[in-house]
Amino acid sequence: MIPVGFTLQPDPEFLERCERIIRRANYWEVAPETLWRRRGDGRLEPNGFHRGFLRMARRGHFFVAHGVGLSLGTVDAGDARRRRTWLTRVRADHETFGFRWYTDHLGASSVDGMAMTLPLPLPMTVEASRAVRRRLAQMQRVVGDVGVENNVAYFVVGDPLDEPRFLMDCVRARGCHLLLDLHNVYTMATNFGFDPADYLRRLDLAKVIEIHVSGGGESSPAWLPSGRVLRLDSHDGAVPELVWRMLEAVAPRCPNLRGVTLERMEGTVGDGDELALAGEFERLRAIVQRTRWAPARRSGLRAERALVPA
Amino acid sequence: MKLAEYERRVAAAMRARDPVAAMRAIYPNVDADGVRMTALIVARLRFERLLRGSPEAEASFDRDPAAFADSFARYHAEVPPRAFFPADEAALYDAWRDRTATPPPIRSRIVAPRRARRR
Repeated sequence: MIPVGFTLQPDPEFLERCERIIRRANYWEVAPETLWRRRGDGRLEPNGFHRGFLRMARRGHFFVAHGVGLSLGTVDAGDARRRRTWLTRVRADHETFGFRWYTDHLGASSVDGMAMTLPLPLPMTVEASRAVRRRLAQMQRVVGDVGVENNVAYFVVGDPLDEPRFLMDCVRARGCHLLLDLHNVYTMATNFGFDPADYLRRLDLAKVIEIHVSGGGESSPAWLPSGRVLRLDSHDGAVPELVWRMLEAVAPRCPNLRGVTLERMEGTVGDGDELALAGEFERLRAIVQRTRWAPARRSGLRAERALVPA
Repeated sequence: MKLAEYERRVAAAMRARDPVAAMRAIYPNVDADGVRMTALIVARLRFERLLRGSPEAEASFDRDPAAFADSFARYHAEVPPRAFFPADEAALYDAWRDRTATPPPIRSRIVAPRRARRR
């Protein structure tokens, strides 16, 4: 069976509330930089969660790393030192956790020495894909298998449906993979008004090693002068039905899939949410359990049509 | 435009008084709502980083959310987000607050008469 995973957030309340899911997961995903703090000399050190996470590890569990701070698209030479420090710390974490693979988001989260935290969209150019490939090659010197997640962006430079081509160009090297985040596709499709099937059809699903499933919410009409409401990839709500259907349709077409992860943000699991989240995890497990590889030739159009909202 | 220049200008746009105008100077057709939402999320993520790193800031936010939000908005506009970790963000915020703190009103600095102090 394809392993099913869950995010470990460095937050005691989250870990307590999600204990049942954490025990049921086959693997755990951590964002390495959320487990660090900076020392006075600039080096990075564990912030106290390493020992706890390792104590939780049982026989059969494994860890994967999913960062947001390496900043795959940044070309600013001034970022090189920070990046070296970052990768040195990831290497130390890898020795501790034995990450099976290490992924980060498409975009630039550190720009001009500033922490944007949200990966900003890149222009989908040859120069940008070359920059991402260089960064992936650096990551590979730390963890052999690396990948890029299709990011969620609220604006794009160009056509959002051109992103799959750009992504595939970024991960074309051996050992470089795609982390397919279905809620990101859903969010982009909702906000930009395209059919998620059109996006998925453009991807080479043989490159996918992990799928992310999560939920989100909507912005308040008061946030924007236009009053427009946007879908947010906030990982704080239920997984939309369409995302479940996307998973059912896409997973069988990813022949190199190594894991499907349910993501949830810390601070968003309140009283009474535990059961609903546990239910989502069991639903995810059930879908993955009944996933059978579909030959690409047969799985094409019918599966894609299943994604179109009724 | 070279990628480095694009990235520098987009990062600046995210903290600009008018992010849409700053972005449209680079890409005239960029979606205004998407740019504004991105700038809001960048600010919000910094806000959360600060609250994680500073119990004092968190307490201040709990006491008076509107006043703290105003203070944070000024901080975000004036201080580039060079901190990647919560404790560093808290240190940046404290330094900014110390620099910009309004001196207490003159009256409060008047030394109380001796008799009053004895009471």
